[in-house]
Amino acid sequence: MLTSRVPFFYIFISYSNSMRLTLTLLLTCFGNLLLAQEVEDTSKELRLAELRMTSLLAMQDLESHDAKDSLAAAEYDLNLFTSFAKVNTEKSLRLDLLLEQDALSDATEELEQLKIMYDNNNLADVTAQMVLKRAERNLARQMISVELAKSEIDKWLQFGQFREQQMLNNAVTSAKLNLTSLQAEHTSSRVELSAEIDDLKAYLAELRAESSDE
Amino acid sequence: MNSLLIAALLSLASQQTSTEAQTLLDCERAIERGTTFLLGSQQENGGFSLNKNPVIYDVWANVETNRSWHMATTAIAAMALMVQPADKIRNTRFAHAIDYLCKSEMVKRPDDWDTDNTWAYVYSLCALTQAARNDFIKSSRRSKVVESRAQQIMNELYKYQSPMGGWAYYADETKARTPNWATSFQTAVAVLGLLEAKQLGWAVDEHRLQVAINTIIHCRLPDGSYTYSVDVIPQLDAGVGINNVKGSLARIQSCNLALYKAKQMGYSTPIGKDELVVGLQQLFTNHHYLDIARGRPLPHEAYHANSGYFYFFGHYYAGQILELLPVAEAKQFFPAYVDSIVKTQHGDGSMLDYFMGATGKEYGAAFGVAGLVHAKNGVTR
Repeated sequence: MLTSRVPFFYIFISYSNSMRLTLTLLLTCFGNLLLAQEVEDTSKELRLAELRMTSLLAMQDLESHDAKDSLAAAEYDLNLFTSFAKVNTEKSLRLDLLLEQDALSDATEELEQLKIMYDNNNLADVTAQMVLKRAERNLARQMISVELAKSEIDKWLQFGQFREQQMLNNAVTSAKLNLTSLQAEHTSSRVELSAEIDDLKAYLAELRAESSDE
Repeated sequence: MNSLLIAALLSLASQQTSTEAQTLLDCERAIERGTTFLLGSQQENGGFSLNKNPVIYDVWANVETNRSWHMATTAIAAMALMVQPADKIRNTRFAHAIDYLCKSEMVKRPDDWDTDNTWAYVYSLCALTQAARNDFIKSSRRSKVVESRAQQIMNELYKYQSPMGGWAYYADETKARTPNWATSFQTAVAVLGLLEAKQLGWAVDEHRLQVAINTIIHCRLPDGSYTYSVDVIPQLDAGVGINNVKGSLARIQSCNLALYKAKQMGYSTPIGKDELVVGLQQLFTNHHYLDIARGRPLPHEAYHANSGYFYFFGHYYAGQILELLPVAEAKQFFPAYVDSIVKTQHGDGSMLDYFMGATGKEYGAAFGVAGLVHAKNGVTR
């Protein structure tokens, strides 16, 4: 009985060792394959992250440029206003007033001359009365235009110039704040992405070490 | 040596005489050809150039506007025939035209804004005053009819005298019964007619005439030009405006002539012989502005707002001015004057400065012929 069982046992043992070896070999091969795949995937992820960093830096440069440009423009507008526009606007409004006053003088003189001309010609006619009335109405309109031109100057001196100054100051402040906020946001984004890249690099190093061990 | 100099001088003198003779010949030929054209275009009723299809050819002128131009053209054509030496055919033809002017229904105001009827009045008055002096008209017992019609026309004309003192052909400024807009040059034509009427002893409203003369003086600018419109405060135009010499070449002639004739009749005006000569010098020095404008289809489209139709109008009065100057002075301008008219003449004898429906060629030829005759009289007295 014993004799009959021995060969079988040996056969079994022998077979079992061979299987284990085979399995071990298979597992080793499969493990190597998985590790290689993981290294490749991680490398790709790292390259992608590095590209994202390049793009992020370029975009941040552009945004910073725009924000600085907006600030420069706002400061330019403010300087322009304080150096020239504040005074020139008042001058321009005073010129408008002069033009309206001249037009009023012209209309007054024309009316006077028209009356003299009609009187001298003495060709009494309703047309003359019609034209004189029109000239008088024109004069009345011109007087209103002069008043409006005067009120435009007062409006500017009392309200307009202060409102304009305030708007331009606000524009400069907004541009400065925007630039600061942008710079903080940029730093945060860069740090975040750098950390991601560092993690990936560390993981990749681990994988490569493991791979070389095996 | 002396004989050589004399020979050279004689040759030069002979050359000059030959050029003068050629100019005179050109002038006479142009008059003859223009007259032939005018005689050929006269209609059976005695009138010239009635536009029979006004709606087809004109975009804004209504029937009465066309009749206004037609009557004015007839008057100018009659003057072009009357100013020439007496001749049986011409006598018959202008008498027929004068009859037509006297017997036609009075032209009415074409529209509320359009007072082109004033052109018919001013030129009819000029033609009738000329007719009143014409021997054939006098001998053919037309004088009374002529005077009576002229009186009617003057009464109509007075109704359109603006309170500004003169006359114009549009009333769109006010659309009132009496227009307010007035122009220097139409006022000048009216004054010429009224002065002639006064000389004939006809009843003329002296106050209106004096006002009209003052109005032309009022339009005169320091450079010798005249404002286009009668402005309350006349101003010289800088740049390419119309109110300076280059934009006033035709107005200068008509206004100068009117003020000169007024002065001869005792009115106080600033225009004497010297001013007439200066006006002619201005015309021929700057003549290219009128040359550029002649034939252009849009009113006032040339430099200094010159219009094509300024051309013959201005030359007609320039011709009359030449007739008033001493012969030696008239001769200085005569060749340039003749050339300026002769070069415009078409193969059929007509002349055209502006396309104006049926009237363009006829008024052009009539002004051209009449101007040449006056100018020729100026150098052949």
